[in-house]
Amino acid sequence: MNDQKILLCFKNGQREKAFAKLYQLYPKIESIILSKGGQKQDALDVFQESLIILYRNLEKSDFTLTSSFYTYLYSVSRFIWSDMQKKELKIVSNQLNGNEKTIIETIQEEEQFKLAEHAFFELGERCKELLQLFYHQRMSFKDISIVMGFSSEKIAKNQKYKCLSKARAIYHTQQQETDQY
Amino acid sequence: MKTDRKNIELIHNYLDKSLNHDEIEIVEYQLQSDIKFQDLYKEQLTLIQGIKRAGLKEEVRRAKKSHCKLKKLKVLGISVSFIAVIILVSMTFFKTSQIKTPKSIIKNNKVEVLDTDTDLVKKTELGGIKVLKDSAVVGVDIIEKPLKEKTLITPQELKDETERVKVKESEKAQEYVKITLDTLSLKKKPQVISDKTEKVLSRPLKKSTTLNIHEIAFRDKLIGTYEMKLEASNALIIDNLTLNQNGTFEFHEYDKHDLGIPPERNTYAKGTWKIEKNLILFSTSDSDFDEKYTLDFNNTKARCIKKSSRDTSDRDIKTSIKFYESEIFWIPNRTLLKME
Repeated sequence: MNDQKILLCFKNGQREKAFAKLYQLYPKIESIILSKGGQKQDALDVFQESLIILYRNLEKSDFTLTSSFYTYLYSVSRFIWSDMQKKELKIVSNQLNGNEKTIIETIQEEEQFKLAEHAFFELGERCKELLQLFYHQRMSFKDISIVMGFSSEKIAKNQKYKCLSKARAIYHTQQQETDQY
Repeated sequence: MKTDRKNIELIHNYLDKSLNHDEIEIVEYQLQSDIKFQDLYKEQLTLIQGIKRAGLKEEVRRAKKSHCKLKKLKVLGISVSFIAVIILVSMTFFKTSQIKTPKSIIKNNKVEVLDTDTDLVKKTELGGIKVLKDSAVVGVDIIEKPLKEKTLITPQELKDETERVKVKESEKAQEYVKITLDTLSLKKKPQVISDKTEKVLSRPLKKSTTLNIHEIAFRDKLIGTYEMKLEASNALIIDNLTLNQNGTFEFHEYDKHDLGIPPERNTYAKGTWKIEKNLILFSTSDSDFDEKYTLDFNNTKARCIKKSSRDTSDRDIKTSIKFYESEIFWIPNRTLLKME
């Protein structure tokens, strides 16, 4: 499957199919990580993170993929691996091209999102399901009330607010703990 | 707290694009002027992105699984195809080896023939050398090919050879000729089962095998007299047919009818008969006709009906001849029983 077809999959909402196709590039990324002293598990984590970064940028309206998926994932993986190693990136802003700047910004944003993700994982199963259906699956409250057995849309909406409030509270706690360290 | 909830709801409605124009303007104004509202907005965005991230990670995990599954299936498919190809190739090879040409009668790649004359063996000319073949290789023809090598060998050398065509010693010369096998090729004659040397009925049995049975074997059984008798209160018809061993026949019909004119009639025929494809064919030549023999039996055909030798039942089937074709209109379908 060529890059255009993968892009089309993303546009049509077939993310899983597109990710599965992109996994064909994993062996190359793995060999890079291994050559830089990483383990197989590190390579898997890096590649997973690269795919998320790629998708985040594809979602942005002002983003245009100017290279092949492999080249892009290679760059992202390189930066993620450096970030994971807590190395000084020694990056001088004016040496980076537009895509690389976006990649680094996205990686840094993602660190914040990881914290929110942890807060989300602390929620109960019902809350997680509801929030996933609303934000990730983009379901309407009407559909959510049917799927989750709420008596009305309003109850589903209230429940979502409660779940988000819980997540927010956990997020605040985690943020404070991080700041202390 | 209440303000927070109100603002959070406003932010979420703004993000969900469910606000009217005025409400959107209020939110955007607050985002530019109110730092606290700005932070709350960023925080809500982060939480939403965190939730989305969890969903994305799950999708990536599933994608990885399906990719691995596909990879395994591909490997399995390739392996199965490879095994199938190996089996196919080996089966083809096995089949080919099964239908290899039969082993040569002469295994050591050499045939020795003696340059002599004898009345016992068949003689074939081969590049000026007389090649002899004795009864030990009956059914095998030596087919002539250009002679590539011709070497004279001594009788001692000949004895050393383990596989050879049996030869007769010459009166005039103790000289043997060694011919390499590639100058000769052996072809098996089709097997023929034959009876006598007279006219035969041939029937192919298997490949290259023909069963030849002399016509006389059938004819002897047909020779004899046949009769048909139709009797009524006012009429009587008696037909007589005699098939002779020399291939001639004689036919006589006696017809008696009370109201007939005349009341009694006798008609005769004579000629020759033969067997062809299990049919009895009658013919009458000009010399067979005279005042007495007036019936024309040309183009008359009959079939012999008898109990098969393989029929072991108690059924009593009398040997008879049934006419089924004739230029004489009343002949067809008449059945004449063989007289004992």
